[in-house]
Amino acid sequence: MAYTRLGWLLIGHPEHPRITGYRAALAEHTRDPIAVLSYQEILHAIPTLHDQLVSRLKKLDVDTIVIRIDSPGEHFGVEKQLTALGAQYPNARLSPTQAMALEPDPGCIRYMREWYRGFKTLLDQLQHAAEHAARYLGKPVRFFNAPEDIVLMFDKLRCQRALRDAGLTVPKHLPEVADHEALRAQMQQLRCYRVFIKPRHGSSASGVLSYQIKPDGSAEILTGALEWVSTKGKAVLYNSLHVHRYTGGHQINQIIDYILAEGAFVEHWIPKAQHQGKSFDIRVLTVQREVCHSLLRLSHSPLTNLHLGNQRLTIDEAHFAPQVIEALSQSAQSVAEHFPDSFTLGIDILLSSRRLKPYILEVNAFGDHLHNIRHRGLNPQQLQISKWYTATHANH
Amino acid sequence: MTIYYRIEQFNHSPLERFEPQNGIVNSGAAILLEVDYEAAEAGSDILELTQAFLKDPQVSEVQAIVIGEWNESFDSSIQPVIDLLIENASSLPALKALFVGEMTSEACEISWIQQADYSQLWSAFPKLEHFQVRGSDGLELGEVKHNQLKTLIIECGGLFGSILESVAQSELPELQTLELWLGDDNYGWEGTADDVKPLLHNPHFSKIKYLGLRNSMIADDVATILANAAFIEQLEVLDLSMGTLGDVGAQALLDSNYISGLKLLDLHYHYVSDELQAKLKALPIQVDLSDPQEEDDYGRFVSVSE
Repeated sequence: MAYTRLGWLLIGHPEHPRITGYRAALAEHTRDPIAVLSYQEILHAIPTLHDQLVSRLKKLDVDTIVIRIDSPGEHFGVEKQLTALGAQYPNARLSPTQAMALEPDPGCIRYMREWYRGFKTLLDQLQHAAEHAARYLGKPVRFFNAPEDIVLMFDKLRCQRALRDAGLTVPKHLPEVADHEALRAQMQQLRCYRVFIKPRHGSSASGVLSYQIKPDGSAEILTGALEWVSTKGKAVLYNSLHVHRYTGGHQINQIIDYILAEGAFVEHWIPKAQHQGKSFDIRVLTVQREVCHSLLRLSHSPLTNLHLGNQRLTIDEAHFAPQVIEALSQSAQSVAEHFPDSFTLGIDILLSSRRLKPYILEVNAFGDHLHNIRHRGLNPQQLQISKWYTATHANH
Repeated sequence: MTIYYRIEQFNHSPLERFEPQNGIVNSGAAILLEVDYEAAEAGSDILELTQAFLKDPQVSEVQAIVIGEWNESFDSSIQPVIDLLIENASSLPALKALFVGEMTSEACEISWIQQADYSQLWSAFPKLEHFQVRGSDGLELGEVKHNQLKTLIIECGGLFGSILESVAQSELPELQTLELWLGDDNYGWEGTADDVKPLLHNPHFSKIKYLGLRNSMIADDVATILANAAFIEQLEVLDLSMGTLGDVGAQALLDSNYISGLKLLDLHYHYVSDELQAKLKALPIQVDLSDPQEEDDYGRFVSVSE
C-alpha cells in the first residue's frame, strides 16, 4: 500500500503560538502540505463557507484531509464577531449590531452565553462544510477533534452531565438557581455549604467562584480571580491575575448574580488533596486514549489555574503510589473513551483530600497548550502528530 | 493565606484512618477519626464513628488520636466527641497524644472550626503528653493542671484572651514545647503584647525549650517584649514565624542580650528589610528568614487568619 498523503488544515489565529508551534512540529515530522485557515476568514465566509472550504482544500494534492481546530481565544475581533453571531438568537442580551460595536475591554466578563452560541454556530457550519467538501472532493475529510465534541466541552454543565450519565465520577451539582438569594436558600435546604460556581461557557478560571456560607447565614466567603469595578453607576466584573476574597454580603450578592446571569452551574466543593502545603488538581492530556502529559497545579487558593501564578509539578515529581496513578489514568481514559472522535483532550481531575479519589472536573478541547513538558521525549504537539501518523499508516 | 497542609505522621507514628468495617488494624498507628467529604456523603457521622472506635477490642492500646474533619465542622461543635472521649477515658489508658481539628481550609476555614471546652480533659487523661488543637472558635481550656503534658499547641486565626489567660495561669511542670498562634484581630485576637508577658512569668514553665508565638499581627511588639525577657535564655528555639515581623522587631532581637543560647531563631514569613536580614544572618545562631513577604497597600498580613 502506498504512503497516504495527508493534507493538514489548521484553524486558529495564524500568528498565535498555538498555530505556529503546531505548524513547526508538523513540518519537523512530515513534508505533507499544511494550510492555515484563520477564524477571521471563516467568520467572513460563513454564508458561503462550503465553497470557501472546497476551494482551500482543492489545492491540496493529498489522499486525506485532516482539519485541526484550535482555540479562538485571545483575539478581540474574533470574540466580537462570535458574540454577534450568537446575538442573532432569541434571548440574546444584545443585537448583532451592538455586538459589532463593542469596544475592547481586556478581562471584562460579558456575553459568555452569546459568545458560546456564536462559537457553536461556527462549529456546526464547519462540520457541514467539511461533509460537503468530502463529498465534492471525493476524499476523506477528518477532524482531529470533532466539532460537536468541542461544542459539548464548551458547555461545561452539559459535558459534566454527559460524563455523569455515562457512569463517570464528577462532583455533584446543585439544581439550577436564578440568583444569589435562591442559591443561599438552596444551600441551606440541601445542607451543602461549600460550593463552586462555574460559568457554563467560561475558559480557564474566568468567572469561577468558590463560595461558602455558615449554616446560620452569619458569615460567607467568596473567592475568585476577578475584580469588581464600578464606573458611572454600572458595575462590571473583570478577570484578574489575583485571587480576591470577599466577605461583605452586598458585594457577594452582586458578583454571584452577575455570574449566574452569564449562565453558570453550581457544584459541590470537594476538598482537594495537598502536596507540600498546597492543594492541587491535575491536568491530564490524553492522546488517542493514552494518558500522556500530566501536570499538577498547586495553589494556596481554591483556584489552581496556572496563569494565576500557581506552581506546576510533573506527575513523576509528585511521587504518587502506583494505585493512585492507576486510578487517575483510569479516570482520564474513561473520559477519552467517551469522546472517541476527539484525538486529544485536556482533562482536569481533582484527587480528594487524603483518599486521593479522582473526580473529573472539566474537559478542555484546547487543553494541550502546555509548555516545557515531555512525555516519552515529546512535547504535546509532537506526540499528537506522531500518534496521528502511526494511526493513519496502521490502517493500511 | 490559609492552611493546605495535612500531617502524614503524629506522635512519631503513621496515620491510620479508622474504618468501622476494618476496626483498628495497627494500634501503634496514630488513629485518624475523620468524616471527610466522601464519608459524609455516605452518611457517616463523627460521633458514631468515635463510638465504634471506643468499642474496638484494641482501643486500650491506642496512644495517639487525630480528629480530622467532621460533619459540618463550621457549624457543629466537636464537643460531643470530646465529652465521649472523656467519659470513656478508662478505655483509653495509653493515650499520650491528641490533635483535634486537623483539617485544611479546603475542608473548613480555620476561623470557622467549631472547637470545644477541654476543661475536663486534663484530669481525665493523666498520661497525656501532647495536646494540639486547630481553631479557636468555641475553644476553652479551663484550669490547665497536668503533670505529664510536654507539648501544647494551639493553631488559630485569632487567639481569644480567655485562652491566653488559661495558658498563662496553667500548671504544666513538664511542658517543653509551647506553640500559640496569636493571629489577627478580625478573627479573635483581642490583646496587646502586654498580654503575652504573663507567659514569661509562669513559675511552671522552667522546662520550656521551644516557645512559638506565631502568626501574630503584632509580631514587632511581641518580639520586642521577648527580646528583653531573660526567660528566653532557657530556650533552644524561639519561633516568631508567620506573623508581621518587620524591622522594629528584628532590631529588638539584634539588640537582645538573651538570644545567644538559641539553637534556632525562626522568623520565616516576615517583613524584615534586606539590611536587617543581613545583620540577623550574621548572628552566631541559626536564623530562618525564608519566605519573605512584600508589604502592599493594604499593609501586612499574618500567614493564617480566615
